[in-house]
Amino acid sequence: MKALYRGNFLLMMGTILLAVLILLAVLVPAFSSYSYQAQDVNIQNSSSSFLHIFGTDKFGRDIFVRVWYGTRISLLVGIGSALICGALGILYGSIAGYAGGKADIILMRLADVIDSIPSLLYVILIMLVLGSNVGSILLGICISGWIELSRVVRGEVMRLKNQEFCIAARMAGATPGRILRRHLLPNGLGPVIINVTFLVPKAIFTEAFLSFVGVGISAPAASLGTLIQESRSQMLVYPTQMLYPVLVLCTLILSMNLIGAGLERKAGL
Amino acid sequence: MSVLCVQDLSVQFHDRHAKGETVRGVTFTVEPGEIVGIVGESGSGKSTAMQAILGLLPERAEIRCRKLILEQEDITPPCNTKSGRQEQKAYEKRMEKIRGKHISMVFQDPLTYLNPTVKIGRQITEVIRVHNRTCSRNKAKERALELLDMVGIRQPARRLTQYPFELSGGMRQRVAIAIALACQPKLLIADEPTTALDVTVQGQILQLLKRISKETGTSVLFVSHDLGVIASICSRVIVMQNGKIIEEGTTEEIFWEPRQKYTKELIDKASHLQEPSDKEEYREPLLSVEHASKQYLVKSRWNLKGDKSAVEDVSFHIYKGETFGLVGESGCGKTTLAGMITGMHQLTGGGIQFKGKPLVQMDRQIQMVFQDPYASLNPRMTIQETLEEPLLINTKLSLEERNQKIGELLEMVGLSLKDGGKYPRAFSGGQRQRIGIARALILEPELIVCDEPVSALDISTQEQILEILEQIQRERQISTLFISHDLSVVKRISHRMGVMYGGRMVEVGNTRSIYEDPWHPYTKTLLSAILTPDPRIARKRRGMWKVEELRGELASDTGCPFAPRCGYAMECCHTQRLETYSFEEREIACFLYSKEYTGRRSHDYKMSSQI
Repeated sequence: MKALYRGNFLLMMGTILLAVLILLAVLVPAFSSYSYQAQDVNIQNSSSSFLHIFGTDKFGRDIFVRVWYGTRISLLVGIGSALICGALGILYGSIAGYAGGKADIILMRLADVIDSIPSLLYVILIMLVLGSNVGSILLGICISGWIELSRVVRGEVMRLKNQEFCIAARMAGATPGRILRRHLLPNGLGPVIINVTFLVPKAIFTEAFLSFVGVGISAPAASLGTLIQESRSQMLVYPTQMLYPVLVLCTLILSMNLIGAGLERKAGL
Repeated sequence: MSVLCVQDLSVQFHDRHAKGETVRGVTFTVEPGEIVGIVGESGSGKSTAMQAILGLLPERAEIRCRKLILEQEDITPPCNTKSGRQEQKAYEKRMEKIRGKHISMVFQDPLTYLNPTVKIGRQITEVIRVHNRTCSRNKAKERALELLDMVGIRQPARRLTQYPFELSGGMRQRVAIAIALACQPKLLIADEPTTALDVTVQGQILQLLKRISKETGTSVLFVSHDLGVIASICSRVIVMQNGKIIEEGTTEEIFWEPRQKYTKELIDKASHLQEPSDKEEYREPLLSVEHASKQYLVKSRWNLKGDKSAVEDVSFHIYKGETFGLVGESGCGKTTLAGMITGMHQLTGGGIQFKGKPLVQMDRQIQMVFQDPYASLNPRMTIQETLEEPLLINTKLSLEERNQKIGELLEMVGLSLKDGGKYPRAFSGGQRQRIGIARALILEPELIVCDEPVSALDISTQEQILEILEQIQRERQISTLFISHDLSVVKRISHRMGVMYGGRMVEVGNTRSIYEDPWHPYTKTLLSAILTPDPRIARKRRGMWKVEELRGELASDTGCPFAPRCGYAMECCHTQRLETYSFEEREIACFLYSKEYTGRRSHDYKMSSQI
């Protein structure tokens, strides 16, 4: 672990930022005396103070709590979709790469077909059908999010499967599952992990974008995108209401990208 | 007046991995027109010293040299810890002019040395025009033609417009030599120029270098680990060990009266490899390959139904307990055949019988030792895990039994159970190859297929690995199929051997009798190309390779694949279907031994070599 961080400024910065963000996202909504949806007419649009660190919005809700609550959703969508897409992509890519030949052609063309429709369209359609909640956003992102990763995995598997150590394992009678698990994936892990890391900011961004456009998570639940959208109407009067969620969103995406870039540099890719 | 005078050259790398000096106080001179050989194992600093002379080393290398004189010019590199940037830059500039013009270099692998996207002609004329600005395009082209002609390439005008991939390995190396000679350098540094080539091609390239040195008066510094090559071409030899020159003298002195123990050892090892071993005979067939063929479907837009044969109608037996050697030049189908026996490739014709039963897929009783010790071990698994895997899959041994077995095998190959916890990166090439052998043996197979197991290793490591294989063979009576392009290795280790050419098995017989009396013209060519580490014998062969090598053509259905290169080729060789004729222990595929050619013979007629 120590070796991973030594001399890798990007990775270290990214991890520290992400750790701070996760801590705040978990702790703030849990321990704050304000709820993310409780409205209070007396304190509409107040500016930053000790009671309300980021101020309140037009319904008198505490923005600090809402921002970190939104970060929770962003993190959930980002990490959740990366995990699901990662699992799917690794499975699909390794099957296609290991089987090779016709199976490979069929599987990859199928993936191409799925990939040919823009992923935003999937998300919007699914939100329309299943309602706008975190689950449907996850589903929408995961429908086509794994394809790029599966191509990477397939390439790695194809490169490695004819290496002599794999042939030796086959000669010893190892099953395809074992060869994939013990020989192929551990050796191709570098590019795979990096790709999975970059899936996180992509998903976070997609969710924020959709919420901003108005097809994402709807009020009173708040995601960072929803917060930015809500404050848009009062942007000129109360710019801070927009500034805080935007800053947090940027930091979140930056931290994930830093981790990705750091890992990339480490792997020497 | 010597061409090159090196005094006290030392190179030190400031690196985490390599501590100490790689080249220590090297002093030597090269006289005009002479060929000086530099021998030593890998890591002895031969190549580093050459690169230091050319100023090609990276910046982290610290070069110290008292004096480095090329003809009259002083090209001593500045000591980079003391000298300023200015001096360094001036040196770089000076060297840019000298490299290619006064000193040029030929490297081991002509494929990586030549630019794959640029035509041969352009690559030669470029060098000429860089060093001679006044030379016109046409003049440069004329010179390029002249050069290609000089290095023995036929139809030079056509070759000028071809790309490197269209040429065979030997021709690429010839082109590399032509580029090196473009500006008539005083000194040519050849760094293992023949190591990547087949034996027959190696002979041709050596002849060429010798001829060029004689004709143009160019001095050659010839770096090689192969004593046979050195003996055949060099007039003076420098022996290096651990970065130091330990011995220097004329070729005769070095080979006949070596003063240093190390030199003696090197020569002994090399000559030891030459001696064929007398081994008992085995008569119980374990594996029989019968008329095995492998065709690849070649998909191309123009040729829809073309299939290429990699292996065509090959038959031979391996007896229980024996080592069967398989030789042939690269691309002749040796490795495909190994793949068929191990079950990696499916046959497209014929069959393989193993222990009396047809072999359909991978059999645990057949294991393999691979060529590349670096690719054959999983870098993410410890040695223990690597060796344990076959046992876990195939046996129900307890942890202790497994460990005992692993320990036993590691000991057998000269490692210990303590090494089991380490990852492959902690081991050298030779040690990795030992681990590869241990892995092949762990399931107690009856046949191991060794595909060029020693060709990536140094002479002394080769010797150790061969000893281990022999010992295993003696103790466990495991049959071995030993594939190699190196004839001396096969001669040393195998009882019987087969020679392949163009996808066919052209001759099979006892190793000893094949070496003493080759029957097939190709076998004879191969054997005559072996270089013995004895200057007297090595120098005697000359003028044997007049013909430019043709690209090894793949087997066709009709005719002998060797016919275009064969000096004995007859009419029928090109047209008739080749058959294999057996005479006692010898099997041979050549029309010289056919009934039509030798005439009707009585029952007890004893066949002898027809060439």
